[in-house]
Amino acid sequence: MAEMTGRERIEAAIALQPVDRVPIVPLAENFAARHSAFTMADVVRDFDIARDVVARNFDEYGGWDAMSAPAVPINDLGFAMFGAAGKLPGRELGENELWQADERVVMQVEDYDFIQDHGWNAYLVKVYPSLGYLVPPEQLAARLGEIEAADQKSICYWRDRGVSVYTGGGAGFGLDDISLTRSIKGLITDIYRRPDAVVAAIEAIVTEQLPQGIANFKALRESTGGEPITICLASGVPTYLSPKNFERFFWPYFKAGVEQIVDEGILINLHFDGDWTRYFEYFLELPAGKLVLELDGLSDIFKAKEILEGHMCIMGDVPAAMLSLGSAREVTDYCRKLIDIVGKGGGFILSSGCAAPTDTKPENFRAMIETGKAYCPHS
Amino acid sequence: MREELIKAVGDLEEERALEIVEAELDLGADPLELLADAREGMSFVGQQFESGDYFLSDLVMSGELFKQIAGMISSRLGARQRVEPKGKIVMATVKGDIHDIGKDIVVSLLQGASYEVLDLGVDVPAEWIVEGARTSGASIVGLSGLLTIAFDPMKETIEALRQQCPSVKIMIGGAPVTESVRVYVGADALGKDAQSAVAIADRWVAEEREDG
Repeated sequence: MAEMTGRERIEAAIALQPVDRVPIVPLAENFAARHSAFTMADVVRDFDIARDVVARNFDEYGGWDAMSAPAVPINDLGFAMFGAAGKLPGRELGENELWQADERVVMQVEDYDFIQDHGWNAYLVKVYPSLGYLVPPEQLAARLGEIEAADQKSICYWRDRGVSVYTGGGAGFGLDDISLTRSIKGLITDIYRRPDAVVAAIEAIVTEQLPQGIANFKALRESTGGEPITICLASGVPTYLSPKNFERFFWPYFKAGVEQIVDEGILINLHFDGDWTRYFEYFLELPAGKLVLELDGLSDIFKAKEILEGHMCIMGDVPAAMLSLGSAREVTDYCRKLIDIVGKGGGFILSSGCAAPTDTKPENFRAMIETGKAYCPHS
Repeated sequence: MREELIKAVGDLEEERALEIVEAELDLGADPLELLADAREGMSFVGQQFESGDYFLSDLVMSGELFKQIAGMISSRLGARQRVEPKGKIVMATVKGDIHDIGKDIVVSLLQGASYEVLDLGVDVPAEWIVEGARTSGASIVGLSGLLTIAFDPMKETIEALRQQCPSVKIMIGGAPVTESVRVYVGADALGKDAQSAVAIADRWVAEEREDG
């Protein structure tokens, strides 16, 4: 088979078509930052540094097929866009520590009414001052504009280098948005105590956020020429629910949202952390050949292949613990197993399970990239 | 034994369970018996989770429900009444990691299973955990971590515990934690989910009793 470009490989994998070799899309930003000359705090503060450390890392390991997170995934606004507090390097944490979400409860019970009456954006603006970020509320809009400009610049940078780059992205379809600001425990207890309020908030969020997300995607793509692929994030929260509650609070909103996005000609990379194994069958209801299901090592990726073969591209999932504690041999063997089994017949993208940890051993990262490039039993 | 209370807790009917406890306390029921009934309901929840009929969200809710019942009951305990715990356990998310959800669920389930738990919180340095284990006389320590950067602090904490509290048994848990991680950090057991932390603790306490 003739050699394909990164873009061709990714598009073929999503469309479940043959590829010359498996496409490789690791999430390397945190690993790159830790192994650079800069501190994690530098990377969070400065977009140019952030892009530069990722680019150097990309070159050091011989490159790969696409950048799924074009800009640095976190900045000095941390988790503010999700209505959540965060701990950031150089602020609450040491200069070279990894950013982390703060699981404290921000959204109060009465905010369910507020969201229904005023919408999700108004809620995020209302709680922002309580989150403790250094950017003063009156400078928030300007800072968000700078972040957007940095995203554009980063996408253009990769595009000019001929590297495939995904365009923007956002959090999930109501349920995850609430869990990030209300806390997982708060959301779960609300599902028992005030289920109708939770449903009303989910509906308010989806109604407002989905058209806005699609419009943002189109504007960003038009200004940058990025890929027609976007990222949708979900934590494992929907998988904590019973099937009955999964079907009430997550699936219908998620399915309708996905269909709406796909109808706009946009391909979606579902970055789904947690153990989704029990729910793989549901994904057969989604449009075929338009989505990537990205797993983080907690789901059974081999079972995903069994169920979703011929329907959905699967991405993953070299586990975080293997990257940080395992040997290069183990990583190579695991990547070969993924390519042998999940890659059989196409529809597979090799990646780290969620972000490669900061303490990934360099030889393990290299083993993942090089095995993906060299091991082609199916081509 | 009040079947009604056991069932309300087991079925996660929060309002009903709290009403029963309130009414029974007002009627002068023995708080310790009520607590035992609530624990019976919690045990049912655990069994349903293990058999795949209940889910993680049910465990979270049962923990929240039990916490409320225990709070109502403790304020009514007489001066000489004391709940005899099955055992003492120190719980913490290790240094460098600030995630609390996994640890919090385990703490509630252990409390619901009659353990006295000293919850040291998140981002806890090794020396505090050693100090907690030493001063509380706990026989078990549970360490949680959601990030791979927790592995080395877990290892350091366990090394310190082995030196200063050699009889303590140590279990670990958290999303990225695997059997290789357990071997690397030197823990005695790995909890694959929140409920298995209770099963591990029960097994160790039973072994302790057998040994004498």
